[in-house]
Amino acid sequence: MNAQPIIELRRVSKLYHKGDADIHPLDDLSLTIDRGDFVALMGPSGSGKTTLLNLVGGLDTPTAGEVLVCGQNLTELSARELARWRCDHVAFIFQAYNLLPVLTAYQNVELPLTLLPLTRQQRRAHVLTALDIVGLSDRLHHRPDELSGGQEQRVAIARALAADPELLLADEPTGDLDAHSAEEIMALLVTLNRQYGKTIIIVTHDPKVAAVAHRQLHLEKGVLTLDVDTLEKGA
Amino acid sequence: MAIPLTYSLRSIAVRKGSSAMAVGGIALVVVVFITLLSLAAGFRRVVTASGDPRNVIVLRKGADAELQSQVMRDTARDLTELPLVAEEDGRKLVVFESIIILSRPKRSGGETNVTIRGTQPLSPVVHADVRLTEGRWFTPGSDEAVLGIGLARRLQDAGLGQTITVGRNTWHVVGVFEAGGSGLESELWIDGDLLQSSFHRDGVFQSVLFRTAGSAAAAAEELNALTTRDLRLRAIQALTEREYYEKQAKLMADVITILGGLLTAIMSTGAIAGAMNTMYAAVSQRRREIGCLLAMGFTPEAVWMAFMVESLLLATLGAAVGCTASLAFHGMRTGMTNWATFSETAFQFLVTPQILATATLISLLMGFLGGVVPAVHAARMKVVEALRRA
Repeated sequence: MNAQPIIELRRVSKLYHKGDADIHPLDDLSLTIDRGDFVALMGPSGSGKTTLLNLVGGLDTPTAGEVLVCGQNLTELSARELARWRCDHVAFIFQAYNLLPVLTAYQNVELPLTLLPLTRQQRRAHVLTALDIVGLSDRLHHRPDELSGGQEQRVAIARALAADPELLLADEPTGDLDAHSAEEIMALLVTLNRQYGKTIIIVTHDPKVAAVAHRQLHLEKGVLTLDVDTLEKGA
Repeated sequence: MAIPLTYSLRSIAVRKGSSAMAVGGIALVVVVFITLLSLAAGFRRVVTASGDPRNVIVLRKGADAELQSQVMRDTARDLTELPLVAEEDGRKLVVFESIIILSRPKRSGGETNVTIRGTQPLSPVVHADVRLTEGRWFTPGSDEAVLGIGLARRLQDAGLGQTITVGRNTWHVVGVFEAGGSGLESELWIDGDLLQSSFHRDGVFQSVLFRTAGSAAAAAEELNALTTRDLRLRAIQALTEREYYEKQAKLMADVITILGGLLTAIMSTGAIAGAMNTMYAAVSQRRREIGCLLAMGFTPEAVWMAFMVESLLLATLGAAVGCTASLAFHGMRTGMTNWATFSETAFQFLVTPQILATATLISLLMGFLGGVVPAVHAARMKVVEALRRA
């Protein structure tokens, strides 16, 4: 493989103050993730998984170190530039789906596209393609409360896909789903990785979910304790 | 890039209860504001409509109203001779009038002061737009009276064919007149000589009103100049009739407008707090939606704008409801004691486009003030904290 790194963390630390206590969710972490990779982030609660995901996604900034994603050093960007960067390069899939309840599936998927210089017809084409990929072409005008949990998460994935980002960051995307729906969602993420070449980082506690990934990273107290290649890349 | 308007619109529709409370609070302020301003506007229109642009009124120097004025008979006669007074069919268009104020029962209960005007045969000619609607004019020298239509609607037992008794005096109402919606419609007119003798006003009038041959303003100015040179006229002043009534309306209308402004300001504070509460609740309930929008790449300014739009939409709805409800008052008849004459003035609520526009602007201001702090709170949220599950 001649994969190129899409993510590079250089001696990244994150420090919070909670009352009198200092909390280090990440401590001097260095890490590289290749383009097209499918990585599972594992570890106990409070190990720094979500913090790492937030730093990679430009939602948070490190206390020390550098975070380079898609060729950009995120620590050099202002809040406004980070917002623009997120819009162009990355999308998030949340455990609680976080769809806007007042909008239909179509409108939810269209929302991030309104940030891009697209015509209404172009946006429509993107939305329909994304909803087709997740198998919800027949639920365009349903609101979130008219969909099952699995369907809501598929809409959330379609929303993440719509703007065609290089990087998908998923924070326990199957955490609120039953086993069957969880399997469907994982199958969808695998498809997105293998067929569409999306780089995916998924935070999970579930070993079955992690087993789908190419690489498993185990964090404990903000330190990388295990880095396992589970599949042969490019399969 | 702005968050689509659909989001703000739908959010209002989904939170029906709290949206309705905010809209209701704003609508209530709008209704109160419009009601008071339409009251002032109606009063102002009636009083200012009372003057004929061709007329000049003469009062005692320093008097602001007829009630405070005295013009002696000799002075009044001297005025008649002035070339400033217009003539018609060989008659000088001038009237000497006396007024008294009497308390009469209202149909709605309680009593009100009524202006009784002692008139002369030419009074219906010299006063603007005076026209009989029922019956006939009273016979000079008799105990007959004609009643203004506004008073006929508001006084108890006052109408064509009825009698009005005050002390030893009884007047038979033989006619009802209108006067172009002016304050004259709130008066009872009787024979001037009879009033003078019944109420011991011999030789003293309250005002002299005359039609000018040219411009009323120029005539008033000329007459005022004359009062400084002619000793016989030194105790009087002249005003155009329009100017006289505008001065009368100003105090009352200004007070109502100021009271309206104060009441609106006090109530607005409550409505702003209501709108702010609604918007804070909206921000709190949608914390994760806000986090999600920021994570997608919407800027804090776009989030601020979405919540401001929502607050302003609520205010616009409040304005629409309030303005629509207030239109029900338009044209409603009422009456008030005019502080300049101490007597009842009947008028209608007047909801003007200007009042509606001002009320709408005030609503939008309430929406802005109610929304701005919660919207800033929303825009300043840290994405990571906003997305955290409760």
